[in-house]
Amino acid sequence: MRVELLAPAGDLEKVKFALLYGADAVYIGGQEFSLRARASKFTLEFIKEAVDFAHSIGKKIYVTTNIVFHNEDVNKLDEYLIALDNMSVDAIICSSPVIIDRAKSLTKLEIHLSTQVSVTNSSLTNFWFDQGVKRVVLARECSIEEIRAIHQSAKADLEVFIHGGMCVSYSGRCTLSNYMTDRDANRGGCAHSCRWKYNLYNEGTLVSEDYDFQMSSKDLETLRFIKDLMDIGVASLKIEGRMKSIHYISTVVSAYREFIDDYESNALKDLSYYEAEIRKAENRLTSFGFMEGITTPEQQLYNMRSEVPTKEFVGIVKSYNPETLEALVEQRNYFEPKDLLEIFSPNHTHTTFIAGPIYDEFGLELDAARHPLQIIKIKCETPLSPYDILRKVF
Amino acid sequence: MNIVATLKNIQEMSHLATLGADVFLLHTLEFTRNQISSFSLPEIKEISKQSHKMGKLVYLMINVMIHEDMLSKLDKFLNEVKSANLDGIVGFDFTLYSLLKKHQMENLLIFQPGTSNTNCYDAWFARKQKIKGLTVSKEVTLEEIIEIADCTQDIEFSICGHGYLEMFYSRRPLISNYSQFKGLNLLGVKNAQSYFLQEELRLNEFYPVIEDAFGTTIFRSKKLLSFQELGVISPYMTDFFVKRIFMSDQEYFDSIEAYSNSKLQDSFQEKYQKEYDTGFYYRRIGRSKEAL
Repeated sequence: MRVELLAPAGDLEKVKFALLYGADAVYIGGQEFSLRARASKFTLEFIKEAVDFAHSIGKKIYVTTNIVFHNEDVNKLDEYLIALDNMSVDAIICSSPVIIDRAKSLTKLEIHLSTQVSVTNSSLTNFWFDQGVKRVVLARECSIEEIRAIHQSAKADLEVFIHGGMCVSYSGRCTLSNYMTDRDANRGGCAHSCRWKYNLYNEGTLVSEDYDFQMSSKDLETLRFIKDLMDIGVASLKIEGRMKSIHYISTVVSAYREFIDDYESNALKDLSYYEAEIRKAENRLTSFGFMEGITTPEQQLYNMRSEVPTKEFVGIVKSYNPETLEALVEQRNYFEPKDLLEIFSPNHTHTTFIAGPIYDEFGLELDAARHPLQIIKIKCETPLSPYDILRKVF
Repeated sequence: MNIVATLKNIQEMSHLATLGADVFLLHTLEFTRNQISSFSLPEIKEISKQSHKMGKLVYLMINVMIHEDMLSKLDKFLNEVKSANLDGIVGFDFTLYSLLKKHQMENLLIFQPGTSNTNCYDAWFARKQKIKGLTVSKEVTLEEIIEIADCTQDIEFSICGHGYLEMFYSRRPLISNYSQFKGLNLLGVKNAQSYFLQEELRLNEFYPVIEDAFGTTIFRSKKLLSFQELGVISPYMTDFFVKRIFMSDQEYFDSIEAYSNSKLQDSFQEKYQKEYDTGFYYRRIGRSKEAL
């Protein structure tokens, strides 16, 4: 079985970028029953459009329905699940027995168990498989050796997080946000209280300095474990970040896609190449989480510092006219004529060119592209395609 | 409704029983987080025997997250503990269900995950597995507690109704890592009940935090008190857990006694009130910032 690369997407445009830049499947959250519901733009109509787009290129869409239910949340669940089934969603990702049961009773939807359940062993994996779960997303607290051992005894397919933000607590078991802010962490309201600053006291004496006790975790980055995960036989490699930008998703997906393809074709490059690709997008500092076992200070984010991306995302190509050599571009960040730009495409090529004159859509020449989402025209002799990303090279 | 008291040592059994404890909750060395004390297998068997003679029940607390390498050890332990004739096994991780089922002991499981037991359906699901009981989640309102307990028969409901309730459990050794990062060389970190956290914008709140071999647990800043709610809760609940962590023996004894003798509740409140609150009984939490 070929390993699946699974990417997040917070809107329809991100779905398309994630799939075009190399994801085999994308997970999205609807406006109901999802932990990211408050930020979701996925009405049923948009979910249908995402599914149709994915299926048209032989890829998949999974819909998260992973809140912890309260009685008041159960209304309309049945009709929601039936609607997802009718539009041929490829799977739902859930954490509550009520969803599993209703989905089994009413639909043919494939069921995946969310990391919110924090499954850390084969025994629980097999319990849920017997309840009708096809795939289990393992807890991010599992090491590579634990994943190997679980796989040896597991009846369900396994999905493993390989990149992105991490809960500091076991997922689904944290109520910091509930207690500190009245926002329900397990129903999409997490205030990320674990990323705040704290003082530590022992026996009433201050141990920390100026609220520098931080629980925050570096983001997960597991490039050097991907070969092992593929060799083990994990079914799906999952990237976290439904709230992340198009540039982040495209960059991270593309880097892991290239790694997986290179490994499968015996053409793996030095790890530093893939790491450098990932660093082109905005990131927190990264580490490998629990892959080598219990975490050390190396996996903690004590200074709250983010990495500065090595490339700046300046625009998305909407169309290209090969006769006039003009590209219609949607601007995302400031750039000027004569800036060195890199073309980042779904096929991984990284050609650069010097930006020529920039015009607005009415043909007026601009001294710079200043306005996000403005449609501009630029000349480029290298043929461009819709969904190509332009980055400024520093 | 049974008052469930965590047992620190064999010597205090009769005292706790006199104060009103109906169930002794025992911690284990290898499968219990935030241990008050731990009992070996022979001790568990002996306590069980003595408890039953006293007409009391005995539960075991298994509240670790069960990782793959723990499965066989826990399986062996459960096989051995079967002969102790326990009355219940309190489990934080549902893995315990599969392991207990193998030994035909699933009817002893009281599932206490902290979160997630928040609706009627979870209760129906638990009943279908033929487990003993379900502890309602700690972040639901009094109204929701009654609603959940009222919709299902044939399963015992319980509540963690008194003391410090946990709100966060990480596998990470957060205090040790910080100590190492800062070069502080803090000694005796593991199992110490002397650490507190203070968030930079909540200067009057101190959150107890404990690190042990299984990770780090953070607790609410105030202990939960249920004197006023007891009358409403008790018809629906089989067990009422009185948590012992971060509490002196005297306060714990006073707590147990006050739940079995309501005349003592006023003096208890006079003595300890400022350290207690009513948790989520009357606090409805929102699904988002916008919903609040």
